[in-house]
Amino acid sequence: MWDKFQACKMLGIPYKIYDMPDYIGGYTELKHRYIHINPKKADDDRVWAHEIAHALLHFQNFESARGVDPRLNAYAELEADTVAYIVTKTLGLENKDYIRYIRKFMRNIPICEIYGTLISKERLTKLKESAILILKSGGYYD
Amino acid sequence: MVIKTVLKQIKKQAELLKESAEQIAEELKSPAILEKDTEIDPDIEQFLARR
Repeated sequence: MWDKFQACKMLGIPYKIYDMPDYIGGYTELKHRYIHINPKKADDDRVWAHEIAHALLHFQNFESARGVDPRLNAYAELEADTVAYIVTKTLGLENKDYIRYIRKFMRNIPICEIYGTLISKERLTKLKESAILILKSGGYYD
Repeated sequence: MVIKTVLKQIKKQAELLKESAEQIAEELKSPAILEKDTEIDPDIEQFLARR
């Protein structure tokens, strides 16, 4: 059992649930690490895990930097969705959208990086650590 | 032709990433994962210390 509200509380991540366009599940205000969730997606653990991953992994200065370099946005989405996939898969939930979503963002990453290592082993370890934190703080291992 | 190759490569990378994520999820299902030394990213640590 994993409680997303407990996870946010334990990790000190504030959140707000309010109406937004249907195509947005949620978003994270990185500067303040504040999560915004669409009420229509409020029961979707994947959306919460994705936004919590952004709050944990992406830096304070990242928000302004990604406006300058769109690749950073693609990497951030790729990372947040990979953490969300790990979390939901650990919880035994279906996440059929994962491949479709990450492939969409991979198209914004230069070909040289696609041919190389897209997410390094070290970075993948950080994604794993974030997933552990998210699961642990939400009481999954209790 | 080039676009086709790129899309093929993207598909391959996406599948590889999915496989790695699935392996991690299998590992994380066991509470034994908590006994291992987990190194926390200094930025996350700093963030948690501030809460």
